[in-house]
Amino acid sequence: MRMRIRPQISIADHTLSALRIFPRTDSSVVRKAVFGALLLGALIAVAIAIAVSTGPVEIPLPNTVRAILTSISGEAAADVTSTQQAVIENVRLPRVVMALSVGMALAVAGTIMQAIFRNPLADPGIVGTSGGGALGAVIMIALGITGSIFWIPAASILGSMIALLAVFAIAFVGGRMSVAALLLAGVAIGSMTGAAVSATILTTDNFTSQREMLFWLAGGFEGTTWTSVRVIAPFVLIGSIAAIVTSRDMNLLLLGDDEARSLGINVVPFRIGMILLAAVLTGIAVAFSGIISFVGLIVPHAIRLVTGPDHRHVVILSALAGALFMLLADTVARTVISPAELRVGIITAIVGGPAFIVLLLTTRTNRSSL
Amino acid sequence: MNVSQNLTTLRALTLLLAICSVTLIAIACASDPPTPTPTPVPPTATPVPPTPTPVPPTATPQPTSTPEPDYSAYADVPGIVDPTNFGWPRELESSEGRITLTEPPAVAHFASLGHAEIAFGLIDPSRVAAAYSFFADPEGSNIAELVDDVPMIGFEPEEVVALEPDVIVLSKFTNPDLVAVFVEAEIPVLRTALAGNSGDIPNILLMAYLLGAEDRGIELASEVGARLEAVQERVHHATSEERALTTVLALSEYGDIWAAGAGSNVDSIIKDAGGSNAAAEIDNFQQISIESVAAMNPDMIIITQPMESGLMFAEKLKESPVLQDVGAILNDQVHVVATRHFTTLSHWNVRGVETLAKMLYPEEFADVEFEDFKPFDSE
Repeated sequence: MRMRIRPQISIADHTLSALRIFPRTDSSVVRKAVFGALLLGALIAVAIAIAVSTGPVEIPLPNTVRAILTSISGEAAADVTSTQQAVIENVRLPRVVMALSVGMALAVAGTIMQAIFRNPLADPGIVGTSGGGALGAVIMIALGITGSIFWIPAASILGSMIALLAVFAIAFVGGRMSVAALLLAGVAIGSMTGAAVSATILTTDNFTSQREMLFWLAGGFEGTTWTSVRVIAPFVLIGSIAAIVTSRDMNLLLLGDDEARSLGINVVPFRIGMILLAAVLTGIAVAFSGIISFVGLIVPHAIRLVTGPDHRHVVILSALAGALFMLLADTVARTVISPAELRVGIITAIVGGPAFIVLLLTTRTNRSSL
Repeated sequence: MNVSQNLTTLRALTLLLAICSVTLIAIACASDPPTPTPTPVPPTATPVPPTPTPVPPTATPQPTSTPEPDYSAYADVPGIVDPTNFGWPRELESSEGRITLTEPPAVAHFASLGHAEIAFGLIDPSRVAAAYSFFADPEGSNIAELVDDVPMIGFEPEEVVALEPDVIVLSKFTNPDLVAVFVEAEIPVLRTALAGNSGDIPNILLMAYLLGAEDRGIELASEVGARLEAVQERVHHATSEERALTTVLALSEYGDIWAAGAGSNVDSIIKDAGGSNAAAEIDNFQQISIESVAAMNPDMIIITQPMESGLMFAEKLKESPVLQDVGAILNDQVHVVATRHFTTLSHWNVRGVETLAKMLYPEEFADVEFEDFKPFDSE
């Protein structure tokens, strides 16, 4: 029986290895990424067409198109009733953009967390970020501080940041960070924020606020307006671009802290910066949609299965796939029992729960999934 | 990844797709919609709506009072084991089994607001063991003023056991574990389904029989029947023009918009008031979108939630560009109603029927002012 002896690998070898794994230029990889982006873009376009033309108010497809054109040009179209125009312009379109934005934000946040924690099971929900965001938002509702549309997002982002930094601080011991400790700390912080949310809801003596908090926590896009879209969209776009720009550095982080440091990454500040970026993306998503689980978990993992671990592709494709997944989930949520609706969080949990189990099972035999 | 790992992943994804498909089909076909919340939980701090001044009814028949009440109405009441036995001991049957009462219960506990509202119409408040905080909420409860002298308790079952009531009446929504606590404490438990039908006459008679208040039960049941009949009579006289605009949508907003669909007690109220439910396509209480409100195109929208938030929701509906062609908005028929008449499951739903009927057929009820139900009067 032959024994395989693992050779000692120097940092230089790692550097070479890193350069081999994530070459600066590889036309086939670039082609794959471009093809993936185009494919996802086309699928998103189809999904938007389906989402905008589907709903309780029956609107023929030509009228849907005319109504959209009217929304863009401002010139009223014949044959489109005022109700049809209002439904397309004020209900379906903002909701579609909101679903795309939240899906993109959560998927990118999940990708970042999986990179900086070097664990495919990291997710805004699992690491406690969503819980922190929810706590911030719930406190604002309980205090009745809802006068400005910016208060709840600000509190949600702050809550996400505090939660994620707390997790990071707990796990960062002796100058090193244990991935297991990070995840366990995330579970602990998530439990604590969950308990604080429950306590806030139970101790609020305003029945209406209580119901608002409970339904908001289930996650959904009902009542989305262009005003809320205008708040979330810039955060998501800028945050996603920032993630794309730093995707090469995320690649290097996968090689280990020492290797990343030797390749010029200032590991701790970079990690903290990425944590804050993930927290902003999670917090802004939670502020407008409530807690929607598993998107940040399953989307990046699914993309990685197709493209491999290179974050220069994973980030951008996850952003697009997250947007697509959320839009499809929301379309199912609002049409499957029409004219009644399901919460989109229920749909993502139905898909994400089993996916999480599958991921756990396959990760056992596939430790190189990152 | 090697071939076997790819196969593992492929199998796993296939399994995932199968699970998701089955689950989504199950949801689409589900016959059990979300359970409505028949009793509001914890107290609210919302402001009290103006209490309507009761005016003696001109069209509402007075309860029939005969020297010797006819107890034949008890013959068809589910739960009464021997409807010819009006002495003691007497037996009743519910989902928790058969109970035998050797004498009229001196003190009884009612765990649901609907049962408590019926009880306060049948017996003296001194016979009610305790009340919960939400019984005292004037927006959600029809007995808020009557529970002042009743001991207030929390939600711990031990507090109920400590009161040593002679019998406990529970609704079908009561947690089975809670029921088990009372049964194990050897307190007779009667668990009934408040059906949500306007008036709920069988429950009035069953509780009257349980409490030894047969005469008052007959009176209250007769009043309920007569008041409903009086509404029906006037509705039948409505003109075809009046009948053309009677599609009603009952909504509430708690973060999202919720509609009362078929099978809900509000659905029964709408029908009894001579209307048709615009949300009959959905079951019980379900979340809908503003777009669904437009698609349902009701002639009238009633909002069944606390007054302050209800008025804000009404304004939101009136200002929504999506609803500008909806009949209820065009005709200025968006009303915030007294939620206590529409959301609890008791004979007080009849007040909801009367209110709604008058809104739907104002000319037919122009000369009528409806009166609230009177509590039990020992005199």
